[in-house]
Amino acid sequence: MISFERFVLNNGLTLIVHEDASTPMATVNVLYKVGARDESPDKTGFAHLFEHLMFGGSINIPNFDTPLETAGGENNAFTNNDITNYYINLPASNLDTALWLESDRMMSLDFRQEPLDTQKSVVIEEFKEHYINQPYGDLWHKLSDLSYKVHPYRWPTIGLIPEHIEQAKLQDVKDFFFQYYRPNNAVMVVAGGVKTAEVLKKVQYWFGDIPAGPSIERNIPKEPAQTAARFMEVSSDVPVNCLFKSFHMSKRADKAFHASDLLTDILGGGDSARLHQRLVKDNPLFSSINAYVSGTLDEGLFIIDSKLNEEVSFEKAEAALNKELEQLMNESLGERELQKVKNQVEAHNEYNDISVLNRAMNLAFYDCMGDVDYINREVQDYLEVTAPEIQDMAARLFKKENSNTLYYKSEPHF
Amino acid sequence: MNRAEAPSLQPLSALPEISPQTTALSNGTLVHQFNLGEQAYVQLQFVFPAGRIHSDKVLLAELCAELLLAGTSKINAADIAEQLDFYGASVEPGVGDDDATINVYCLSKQLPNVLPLVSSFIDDCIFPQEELDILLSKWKQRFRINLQKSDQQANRLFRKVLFSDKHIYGRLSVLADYDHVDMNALKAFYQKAYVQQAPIIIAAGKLPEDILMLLETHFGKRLAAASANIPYPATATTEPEQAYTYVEKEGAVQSSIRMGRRMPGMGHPDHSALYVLNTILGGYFGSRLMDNIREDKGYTYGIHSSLLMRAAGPYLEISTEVNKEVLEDTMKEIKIEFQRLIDEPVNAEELDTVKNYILGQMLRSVDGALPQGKLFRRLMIYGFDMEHNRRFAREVREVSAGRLQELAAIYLREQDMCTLIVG
Repeated sequence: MISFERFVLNNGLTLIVHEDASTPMATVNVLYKVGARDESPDKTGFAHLFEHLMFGGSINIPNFDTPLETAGGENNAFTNNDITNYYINLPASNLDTALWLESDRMMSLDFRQEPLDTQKSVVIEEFKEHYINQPYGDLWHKLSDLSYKVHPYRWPTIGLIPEHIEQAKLQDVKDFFFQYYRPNNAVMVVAGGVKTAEVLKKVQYWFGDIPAGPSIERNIPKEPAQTAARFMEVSSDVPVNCLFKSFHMSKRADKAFHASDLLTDILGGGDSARLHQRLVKDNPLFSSINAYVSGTLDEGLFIIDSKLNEEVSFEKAEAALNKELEQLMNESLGERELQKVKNQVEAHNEYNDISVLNRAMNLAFYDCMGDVDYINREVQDYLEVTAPEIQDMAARLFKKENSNTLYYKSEPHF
Repeated sequence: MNRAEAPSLQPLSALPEISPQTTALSNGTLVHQFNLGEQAYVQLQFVFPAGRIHSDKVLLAELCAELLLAGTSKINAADIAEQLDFYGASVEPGVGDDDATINVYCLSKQLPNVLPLVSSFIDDCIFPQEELDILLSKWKQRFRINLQKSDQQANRLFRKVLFSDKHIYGRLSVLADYDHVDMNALKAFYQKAYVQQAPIIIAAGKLPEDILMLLETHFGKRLAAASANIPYPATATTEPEQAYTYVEKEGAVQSSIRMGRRMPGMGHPDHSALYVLNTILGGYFGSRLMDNIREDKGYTYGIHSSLLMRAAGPYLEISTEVNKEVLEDTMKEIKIEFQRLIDEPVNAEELDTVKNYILGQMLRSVDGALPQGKLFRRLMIYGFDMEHNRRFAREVREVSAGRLQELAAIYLREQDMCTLIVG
């Protein structure tokens, strides 16, 4: 059980406080409800570029990192399709430093051309390092493009092309900030060796005078239902053939999510999971094969990601994989197998609660999903999923009309 | 409110007086316990003298650790996997240069089910040929993919460049090594490094009350040489092959730079000062290298320097992937940063920031049972303990700008560095 108290300030900022007296450290996690899905198709990669800019100096504080380091703190951030999340961890006795830093950059950034130009270069190097200068670097670009035709999930968080990042203008940056980086669009969690009453007072002090922004109306185009199987083939100078499949599934916050998530464990959760045991060990068609869900706020994807063994044809590999998926559609799970994946969920849940930082990030995310209290109830929902529910879900997910298949072929230069 | 003014800072507290509760089982096997936490979860580390340094052939140490789960005389790999997964447990071997650690993660209540399995594969592993073949095939694929990643290649080749292939750390595996492994050599290594050794056991988390009894039952009766520390074979000293190596990568848009030199280890009186010096150079986000090459020039997504502890050759390594067009300029700027640290003392403000950053990291490293257990292993394998760590923290506080400048003049000379560029 994660205990907490929740408040909403006058300017719309949601504050959640979680006490843990066993640690002398405090974590401050600020989640802004903006991600790659909020971008326009000709300005992709923006939310992530913006994450970088948040470290480039705020209106009263030219240097974010040095005061934090001097306070004994560390920090990091990430951007995904749905959110941009920032966290600070530091000795609880220096909590004011974290609140000062976060509140100033929520108030306003110091919008200047120079840091914008530098961060554009940095992000373009990141683009090259992870997506261009690597074998399979463009995989996620291809898979997103194949799976989504309308919804902004069709482009990856880094951006469609480096040129979009290069073209970002200072005015675009300002507009983006004052639309999305507002207290009423943020969830803040303060957790660790802190006391709730004191935190509330401090947060009122530091954040209370930040004006609310416009209420956000998202008009994200909905992805139309997929009605026919899709296929894409890509050749690249990579050493190993890879096969990917994606299937449309529910939103993260839907009840349907749990059965889908359990299916990833049945197929790929550990060495005894079906795909590993049957297609890597017993019948070695693949050298590795994994299943996971994208877990996005809007309708997401169930993904299977695999590497074929040498001399194995795509057709043979795909046929074997499809057979496994069909079995799940046609046959009910036995009790032991279902219990196994539930035991795994229980263990993971306990493990995830160990770190205060994890608790803080999760509290913010559950609040963003609409119900922070669900953090303490969700495991129970997993444990109550039945074998028929899993079979039904398999039938919905894995039908051909819902499938996107990518052959990533090895075509080495000589 | 004056937002331009930073809130006043509280001085960072000293590291808490934490040490494990250490007990010997009846055969001398040491168990170090870090017993705390609310979550009913544990991590056990079984540390063996089974690292790369303990093997005379490449790949053996890694293969052996991985194949511990491949089957015993009583239970095959599939059943081992099935049981571990059913209990929600995971067993992950971690093989490094200087040790092999079998990491066991599970809910506290599952330990009585998981420990018998762990003890059976530490003592009764049979290394089925098909399991070895499947693993080799998978690793060969991974190796071929990594050959195309210039950052991975740079990591790998730098060790050969710095240590030479006559040194244990400089031995590299090649593609052919994944085609065949001498099963007798593998089994002999297993006997020597696992069966005949007592692990050093580190247990962290909310430990069950009967933890010692459980460990005594499964590990206390073995006839195995018990030791408080990891023994290391003698290693001849070697010199780098050459000062500068360039490996071309067709079509590369970035160049990987690896630069470094051999350094003194954890026991050296200057270790804490050198750690501070390394942090200033490239060990945190506000470092000289990051400030210059990323924040000022935008040449890279990241540039870091690390002081890496090793039983037979601690070393400094500077590492980055930069826009290929600015490779030469980057090299020039790195050397400028060395020279600045040699020519100018670090000012009081910067020194204070770095010390506090380091002390903050150290506080985080003991925040909770699992972090404590992991830290303890890193100290223990080199013969140190938590008190040494506390002493290190006190020394960090005392490091002077003058001493840093002296050490920079000894250890950051451009002519002593070994460089590798890939791409």
